[in-house]
Amino acid sequence: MTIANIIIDPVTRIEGHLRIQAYADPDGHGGGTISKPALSSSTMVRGIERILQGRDPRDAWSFTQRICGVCTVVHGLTSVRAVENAINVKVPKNADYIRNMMIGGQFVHDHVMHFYHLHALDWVDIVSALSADPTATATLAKKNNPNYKPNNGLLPDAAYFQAQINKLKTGLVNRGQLGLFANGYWGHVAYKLTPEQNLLLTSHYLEALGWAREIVKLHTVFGGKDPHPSLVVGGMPCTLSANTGAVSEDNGGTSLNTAGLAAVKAALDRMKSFVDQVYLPDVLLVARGYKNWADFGATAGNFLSYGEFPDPALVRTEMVDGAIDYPAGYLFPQGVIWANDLKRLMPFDQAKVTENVAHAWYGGSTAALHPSVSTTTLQYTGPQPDQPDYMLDEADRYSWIKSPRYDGKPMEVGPLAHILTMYARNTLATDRLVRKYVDTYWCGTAANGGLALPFAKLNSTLGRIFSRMLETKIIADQMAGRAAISNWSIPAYAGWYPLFYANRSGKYFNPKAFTVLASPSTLPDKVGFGFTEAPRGALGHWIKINRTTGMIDHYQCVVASQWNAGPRDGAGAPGPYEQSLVGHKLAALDKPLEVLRTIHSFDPCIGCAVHVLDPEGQPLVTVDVSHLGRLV
Amino acid sequence: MREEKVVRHVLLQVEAALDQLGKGGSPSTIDLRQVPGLEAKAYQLLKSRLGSGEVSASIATSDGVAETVRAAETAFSGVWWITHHNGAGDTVTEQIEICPFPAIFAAHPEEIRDSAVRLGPLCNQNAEVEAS
Amino acid sequence: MQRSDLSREDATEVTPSPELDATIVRRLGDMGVSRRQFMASLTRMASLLALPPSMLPQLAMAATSPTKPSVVYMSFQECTGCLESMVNSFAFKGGGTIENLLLNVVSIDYQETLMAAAGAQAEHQLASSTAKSGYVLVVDGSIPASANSGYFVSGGRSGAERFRSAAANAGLIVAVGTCASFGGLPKADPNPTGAVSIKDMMASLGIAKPLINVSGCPPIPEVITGTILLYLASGMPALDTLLRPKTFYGRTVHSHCYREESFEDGPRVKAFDDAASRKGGCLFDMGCKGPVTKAACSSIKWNQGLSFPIQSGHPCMGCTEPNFWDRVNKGGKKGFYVPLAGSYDD
Repeated sequence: MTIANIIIDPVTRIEGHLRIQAYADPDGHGGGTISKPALSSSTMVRGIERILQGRDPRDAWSFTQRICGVCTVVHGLTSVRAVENAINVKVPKNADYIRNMMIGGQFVHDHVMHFYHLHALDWVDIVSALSADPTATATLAKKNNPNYKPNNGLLPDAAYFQAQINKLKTGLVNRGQLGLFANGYWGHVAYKLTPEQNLLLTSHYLEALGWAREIVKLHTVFGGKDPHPSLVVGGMPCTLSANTGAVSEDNGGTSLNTAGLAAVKAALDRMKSFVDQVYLPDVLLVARGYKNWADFGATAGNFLSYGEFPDPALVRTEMVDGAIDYPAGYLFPQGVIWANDLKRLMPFDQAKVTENVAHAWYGGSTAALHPSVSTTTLQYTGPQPDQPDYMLDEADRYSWIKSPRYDGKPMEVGPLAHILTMYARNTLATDRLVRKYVDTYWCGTAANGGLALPFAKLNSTLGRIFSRMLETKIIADQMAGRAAISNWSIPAYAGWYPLFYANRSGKYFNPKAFTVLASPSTLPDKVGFGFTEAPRGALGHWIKINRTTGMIDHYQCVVASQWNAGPRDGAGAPGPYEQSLVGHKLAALDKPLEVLRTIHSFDPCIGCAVHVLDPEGQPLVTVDVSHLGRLV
Repeated sequence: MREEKVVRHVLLQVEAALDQLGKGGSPSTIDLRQVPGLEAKAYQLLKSRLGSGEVSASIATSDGVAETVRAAETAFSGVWWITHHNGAGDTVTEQIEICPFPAIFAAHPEEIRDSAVRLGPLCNQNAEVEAS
Repeated sequence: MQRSDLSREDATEVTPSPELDATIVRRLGDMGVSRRQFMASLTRMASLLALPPSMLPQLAMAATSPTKPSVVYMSFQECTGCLESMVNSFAFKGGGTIENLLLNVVSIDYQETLMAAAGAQAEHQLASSTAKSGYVLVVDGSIPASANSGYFVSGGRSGAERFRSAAANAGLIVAVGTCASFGGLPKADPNPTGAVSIKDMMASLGIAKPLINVSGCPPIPEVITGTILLYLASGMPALDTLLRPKTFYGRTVHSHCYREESFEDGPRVKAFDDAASRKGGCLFDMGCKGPVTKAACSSIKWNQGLSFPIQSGHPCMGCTEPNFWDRVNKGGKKGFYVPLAGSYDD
């Protein structure tokens, strides 16, 4: 039988550079079925960990932040936490509240933009939207988003939607310049929504752009800019303004004045209302139109979460212990699920994390090694570029991403892992809330607004989209505050912002962080481990600081998209992207829309995944060898 | 005093611009953001020297949440103090415009023609109501 | 710095107030944009950019052109932060913002993170967009000098080859971000992948085209969009020796900084969260690179003028300057918290 190659390169609407190569058995009518694991290849490297060697550990966050300008906050904070862990310094409660809000703000921003701007075009046919009936669309809007009033404070009416059509027509179609919307798979048989549904979602696509610009103001107040806001080892660089009025040459002051704090509050309120009024009902709208996508895109059912959003209220003595020391209070649990078994949330042990380069473009040992001891050498052995027929082979090395494994197994990380670990833990009020939401919206009957899907099918393309929305809702409420839900026995939660605000005159920085680093001989002899749960999942950094120079000896990151997008390991076990495509039926082999739907459901962030190298091939931790000696 | 010097300089320019306008010249604008040395004290002094007049006007944002531009005539007819706000209500830019009335507020001839066209159907609607 | 400006009293400009002609007003009507909001945003932008108000009609003409100039946006060794920044400046709603108009003003014909097309269809879109001539090629990220290294391959083609073919018919190349402008992070010591800036890549490929560097990690949204609009309105803007528009990169962060007085008179910040930091004291001793960094952060600021790193308590890292990752400071040390060498008394 002939095997058809399905190649998507570049995969667009992602962060970074990704190539997907899959094989399909043709059906004889232009379509076919993917019958074995695909190849996921990342095709760009920079070498950031290598660049970090020999540098000041206080600077590391700014380098790792540039791993990715989309998940910029989490990459910076993981580094900050790794250094704080290495030097045993705890941060003030205010720093944790602010960090929680910055990470949380990033989740809300990334997830909403992922849904509308990166993923929606796999489900929403913009060309079809142009033929929508504006009156019917207004009726749909009233039903689907009854509280969302973008039309000068009113519900959008027929004129509003007619104006949206006109805007698309005059802006794009009439001038024959489709711009970003050119050459999509418009008209593909796999698009199932009505023209009115398409127009409604297209409207929200456009409106979400303006919304996103407003909500990043949270990062601008706390971090001075976005992307790449400022952070600092030991706390936060921002601090309460001595002057509540506007900053000026005469009055001085900081961004945390009355106006700055009001901007944060406004951003949090905007996040919460957009998620409740638009994102949540829109995900359900799309899901109702594509329920069969709960049948595709499953991974092996192994899920990993490092845990995130520590609870500063648990701190007993400010700056002696830290919120990070209480994993039981993390909003997202720290733990592992094996083979879809949600009855047991197994404890996480960072010593069980390994990396493997059997199918990645690195030299050295192909054994599975802990990130703190793995040795790697940049060694491209792929086909020469700029020649015809550039093809990768799964028997060879084929990616710049290494294969991370936990206890030897490929793991899925990200929103689905967060939701499932919360479901499995079932101790915090938010865990119980997740169960209620899943019961209501995923499993619940259509009459009650649910999708009537079996719980087990959460491990799917559609389940990932649903989980991403659900965790966004949980986080948005956690930041701004949540009223009690009495019929579900869920208590009220004050919210990180109100709790921070009440404590705003407290400390923001632990000066010990800079003083201990100035005396490196007093530093503990240990590998620092820092972690966050990024919007795309488990993110860990390992750092070793030289106790003579105080500079970085070794730095290693194992990040979310690496877990999901990695290639086969030494035993030939495929990574989650590769596995998830098996069984996909393509209507047209030259327009692999179905493949994109599942790949995008992971929200690829490939710049993140491929920073992981140490091209000179030094052992990552070799205690008592001078750092200069290792650079040779 | 430093601020006296800055303010005198601006006022001299306003005077020259008024003179030009009075002789049938075109309106002109001073962007206060670009005036060197116009710090808080000098700014306050300039504002108090120019004082306030009878007329003010403002433009609201398209969603009507906040005003984006506000113009107020100073105590000197033909000298307008114009303030631009961003979405958060902060002052972004301030200008002094020397003109009979700031052009941004006046309807443009093209808009007047368009209004007439748009009003047409409404007149007909009324006619139908009366006829029925 | 602002004190010394006092002697330059003749710098205050009185300029003719702008008028829009009927064509532009009609086009705005077709675009569903309010003339008043449009004029107000242009006025604000011109003020931020220190442009004379008399330039407004030219800007307005560029912003309402019936055919949209084509922009091809290509990404190489980058982190997507520059695009995130640029997207932060976009808003369709209301039509009152200049950034909104930019999306209506230019046709972004290729941009991998936002475009609908993927794979073969995306490659086709790239080929057809770059087959025409005169488009603006926006580039972010550095490029590995060696085409055969495998450090950047997309669609089976190396970074150098993708750039060469995309540059062939471009009318202007805009390097957005410090990686594209100067090599940036990938080029930081020891430059593991042999990364080079767009300027150096152009030199090695023998490409002679107009180039504007819009440096920053990332650049301010309005600086990216403002540079493109300036070019569309009035051609090549005046550039500094590093090929950056003087409008945005003419002065140091320090010279416009609201904390500049405490640089001279104190109190300066000695540790994060100390009393001076709450008052908004100068961050020079904390390693601030504002005195040697040409950027608009302290004047335009970020996200609608809300804040900038110094206002939020962190020293300027100097991210618009070449090799800022490797700057050597006091005591011969690199580092963002190491004070500048020298005194910088002004």
